[in-house]
Amino acid sequence: MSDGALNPSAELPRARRAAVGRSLGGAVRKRIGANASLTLGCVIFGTMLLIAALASVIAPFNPDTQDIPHALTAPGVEGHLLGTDQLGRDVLSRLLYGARIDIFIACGSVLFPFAIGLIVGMLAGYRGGWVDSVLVGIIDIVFAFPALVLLVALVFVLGPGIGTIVIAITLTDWVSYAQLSRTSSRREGTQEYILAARTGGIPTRRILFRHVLPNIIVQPIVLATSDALLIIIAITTLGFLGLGVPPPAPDWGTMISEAQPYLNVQWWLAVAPGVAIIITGLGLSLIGDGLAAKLDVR
Amino acid sequence: MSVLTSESGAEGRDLLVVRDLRLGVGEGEGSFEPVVGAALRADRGEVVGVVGESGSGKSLMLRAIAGLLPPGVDYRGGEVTVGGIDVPHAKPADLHRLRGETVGMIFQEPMTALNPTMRIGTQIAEAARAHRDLGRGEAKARAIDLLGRMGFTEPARQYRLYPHELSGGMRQRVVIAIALAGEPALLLCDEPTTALDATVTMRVLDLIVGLVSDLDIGVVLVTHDLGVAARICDRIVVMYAGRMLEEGPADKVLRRPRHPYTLALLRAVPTRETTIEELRAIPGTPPVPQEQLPGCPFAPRCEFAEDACLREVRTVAIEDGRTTACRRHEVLAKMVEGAGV
Repeated sequence: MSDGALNPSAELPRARRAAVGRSLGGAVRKRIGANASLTLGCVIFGTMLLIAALASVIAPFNPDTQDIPHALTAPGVEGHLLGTDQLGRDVLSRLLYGARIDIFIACGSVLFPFAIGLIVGMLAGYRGGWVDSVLVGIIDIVFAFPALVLLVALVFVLGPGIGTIVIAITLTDWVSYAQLSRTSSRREGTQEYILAARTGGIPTRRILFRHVLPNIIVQPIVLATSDALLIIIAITTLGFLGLGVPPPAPDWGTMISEAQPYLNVQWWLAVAPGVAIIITGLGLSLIGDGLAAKLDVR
Repeated sequence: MSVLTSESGAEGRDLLVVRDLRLGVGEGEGSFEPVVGAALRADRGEVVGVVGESGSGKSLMLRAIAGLLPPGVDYRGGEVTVGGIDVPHAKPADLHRLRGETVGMIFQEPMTALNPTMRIGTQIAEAARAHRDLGRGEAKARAIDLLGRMGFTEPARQYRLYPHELSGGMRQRVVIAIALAGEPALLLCDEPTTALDATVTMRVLDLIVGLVSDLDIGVVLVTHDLGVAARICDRIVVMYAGRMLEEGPADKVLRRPRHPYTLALLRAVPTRETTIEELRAIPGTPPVPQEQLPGCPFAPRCEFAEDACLREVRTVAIEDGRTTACRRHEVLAKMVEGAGV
């Protein structure tokens, strides 16, 4: 048979062929040139993850050790590169350990809403009918509440703590993923290959997870990167309101909140965690932009 | 492939029977019926062509046979029986047995009929496992076997390819392999060659014909291409406006049509000998399904029509096991015999 495509190497995607036989440096340069924001975002966020992982190694002091006589020292004094806070704790060390806690919570708080929202949205969009109506009703109700107010109320009721924050964010945040994946599952469900799978008698669960899911997952992933940023802001907001991670565990929002009274003298106490939040956020949104461009999200 | 078993064949009944099928869309005011009185029979070892123009209800009838009507479309009456399963009233377990195990379906556009994110071999193996209690290895072996049967020269390697790495013709072969993975007795083909170029079309058609004799399956081929129908069909059903107008052995129907619509279709096909002046378009447009006429749906465009045609339509049996819905088929017959088409 000479159908023209029996030699599939002729039809390999150009990118894969291009990647063969070029130096590593060239390939890296090519990558960066092709998608600078994704690369830069990965570098920034990767550094943040590294800092979080190595906090215990690189932090010069114990973040929780108080030293009242040396409270509120200026940056650079006695080895405290960013000075000390009102209880004499090293700001840099708290910042580094804060990265660990905040990024950990943010990842957990993205994962659960992502998974729950994706499954609910997929069910609603694929099944349609009354299942869709009920689920869309629930989604709309959650959407109708201002997210932050709901979040604060939930944390207030459940009591502060890392687990509480993750639960509260999950309960408020899954709806955006659900709505997104519902729309795309609906569109995907009318595709012929889904019809083909149904004609073949493939079980619904398998159709959902093997056929629908891989084809709709790109948009939720892009949403997750920008969502992680919003969640870090939400966590720091909770910390600022005194509903965040319970002390003495370091958390950027709590640090900003505690620095308030000293803002006009020891301004670096608030600015340092603020800059950390901005850098992390920048990294995440660059990843989001880069992924959207790379994966061609419409 | 193992010998296919079917209770319907043993009893000597037709594998597929569609009788007076009516399908409706919507309820109340805006409700209408895109398929009224469709009929079809098919047995093992034969290829039945369903021809008609776009919107004649061919594809919808095919989906009704697989029990996969689009949302908003429902059964309004008539009979659909496949391998002993009463499709409109089937229970979920029967529907599962129906899809894949009794009927397989292939589609017009082979690119969209394959999951772009899954290897072709996995898609075939998955379809095989949906109906047979196969282990992973067995399913894979079966998929490789099917790929080989479809004309892939290195099935074990090509098993790992993704749909975008194949040409249209090869993709359509994969779609056919998926449809056959559950060893169905009936293969439903919805315009399987429309998206393919002429040479590939012929190979895919030959493949389908080969499968009919090798596997002893029945094939229902929906097409608007009379050339395709003429090439591989044993019997032909002509549909128009959701209704069966003529049915019979392919060569008889295409050589000596007993319905003016079939004649008009044949005259509209260009051949090497026809000049542009001889090529005749059918005057007028097909009726919109919302306006259901009591009589023959083709009567307003028909050169043979008389007043009675507009009032009533009835399907009658004529010679050679044929049926026609034209009351003036004898007049037509004389004309066709006299002049040739």
